[in-house]
Amino acid sequence: MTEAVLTAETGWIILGAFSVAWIALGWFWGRRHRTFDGHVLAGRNVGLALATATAMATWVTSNTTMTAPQLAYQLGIWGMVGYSLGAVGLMMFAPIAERVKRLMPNGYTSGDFVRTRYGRLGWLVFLLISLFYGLGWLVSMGMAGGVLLKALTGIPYHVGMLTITLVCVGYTLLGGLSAVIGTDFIQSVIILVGLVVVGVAAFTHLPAAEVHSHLAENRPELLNLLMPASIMFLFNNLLFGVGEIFHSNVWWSRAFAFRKGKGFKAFFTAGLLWLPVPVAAGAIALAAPGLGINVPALDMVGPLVVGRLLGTAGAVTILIVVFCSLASSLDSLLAATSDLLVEDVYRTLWRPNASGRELRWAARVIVLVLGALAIVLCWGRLTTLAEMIHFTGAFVASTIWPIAAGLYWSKTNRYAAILGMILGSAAGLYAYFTIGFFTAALVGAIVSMLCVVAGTLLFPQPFEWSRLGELRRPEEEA
Amino acid sequence: MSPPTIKCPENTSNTGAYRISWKGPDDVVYRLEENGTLLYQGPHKASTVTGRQAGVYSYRVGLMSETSREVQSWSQPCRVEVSPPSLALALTLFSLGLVVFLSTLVLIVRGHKKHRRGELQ
Repeated sequence: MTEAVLTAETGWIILGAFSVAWIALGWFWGRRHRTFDGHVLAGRNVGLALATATAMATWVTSNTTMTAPQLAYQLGIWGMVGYSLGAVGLMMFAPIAERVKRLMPNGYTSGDFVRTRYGRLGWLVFLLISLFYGLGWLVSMGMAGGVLLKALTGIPYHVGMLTITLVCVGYTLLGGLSAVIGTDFIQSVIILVGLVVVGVAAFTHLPAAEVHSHLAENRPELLNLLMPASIMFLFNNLLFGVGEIFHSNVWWSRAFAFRKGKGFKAFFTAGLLWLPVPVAAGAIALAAPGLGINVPALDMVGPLVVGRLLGTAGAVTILIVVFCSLASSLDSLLAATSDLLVEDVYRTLWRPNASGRELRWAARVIVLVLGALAIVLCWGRLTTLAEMIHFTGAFVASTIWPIAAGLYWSKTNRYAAILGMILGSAAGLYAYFTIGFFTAALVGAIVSMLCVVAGTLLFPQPFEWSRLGELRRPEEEA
Repeated sequence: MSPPTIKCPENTSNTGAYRISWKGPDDVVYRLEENGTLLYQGPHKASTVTGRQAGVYSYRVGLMSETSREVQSWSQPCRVEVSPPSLALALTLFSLGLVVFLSTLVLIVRGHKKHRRGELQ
């Protein structure tokens, strides 16, 4: 039981207005594309401004705006700084985006790369990791939607979660990647302006010196730069972010969709723009003890502090910002996971000669199924957002070296890469349960790197890069 | 009214951050104490504790009387042990993380230079 800052009516008005806008825009942008490429990759012709905005907005997830405060409140200064290191993943993906665009002019998914580079076994392992992560991310965002609306407006968790998920499913279904990227552009502007307004207003109300003195007196561990969990979390989060971006089709589909020559600049700029966002969002949470705010659940700390500090105006702003950040990621994930399933499962395994029209319909059906699955999995609200997300860290970090070495080394051993993903995931999970959530990605990445490097040095396997250019597009109807 | 039932985390906390929750009637005021000191007083039925150093912490929650504003009945106490990982383990994993990050960075930067020179086609 918590006191909501806004009334449920206000919540519904904001939610309703933005939902109608996103769905209308999704329908509007979706009309232009009548081919499979148009639907899933926005015609492979996205310019620099839209490209940068979509990369930034997609990475500012509900996890950023809600989990960054949670981690600052839980792990202190390093929790906040560590979360901002997630920007490194975007910047490191910049050269990869340029390379995959050149190597795979007809590519659709990260699965296309892994299948061609490492064969069907490696592809299967990768697909399982990718789908597991995708579902975890979907669930964490669906949960975030419910938590946010409940904290700020008192709308019951299940109603809020259901509404936000259905809206995102709706406009992704109508507009494909064009709708996702177009809405991302608007959402990124709202997110940046909103965070600046909230950050400035919050620290005007409560000076940083006051926050510091209260923490030093009552929660000294949050300021302790040698807090063991926080120290481990720093590189854990960095590698988690790198793993998320390197393997996920959310980012690969963007690399394919961006106009030639724009991928590097777009991802690098987006990383720079993203860097301060978790610090701004996280710092707010450190004010909670000083304000005497009781935090019933960790993932509610951000909205609660903003609501208390800035009252109705702050709560409205944070509701809009988090709703935008949530929608910008949920839609991207729905679209990218759907593409992965259509290209890697439906087309590759079942219907290799399917027409573009058939694939477009398959993509829409899969978006619907994914939305339904996310709702079912979110229903029980099994764990906190951060725990949910970091559980998947073991898996995604184990893909960093198989992806990077597969792209830049011509002699990467395929079995070493596969073993790296399996052993890395297993070791990361072991660390998650025996040491803590803040080590899963770190340990997964270490073990995976050792496997790939050792296997490749001992048993190099030559690969012809030209094979990646042999992927074909589906036949489009006249 | 019967006293509230308090619930502490079953496992030892390795971050010094955990959630204490309790069961009891709605729309009443509760008082949560940590080692005998007031931590929270209000209508919520949970509180997240963070920033705790290594040690053992004892919690109890009381149901406040509506008229006298004094505690009417206390829950059974429960204890939480905070035991962070060792600093040596933390620094070892930190160093290994740094090595993995720098190695990945070198791999990509070198690869990107070769890619731009057209050596990886």
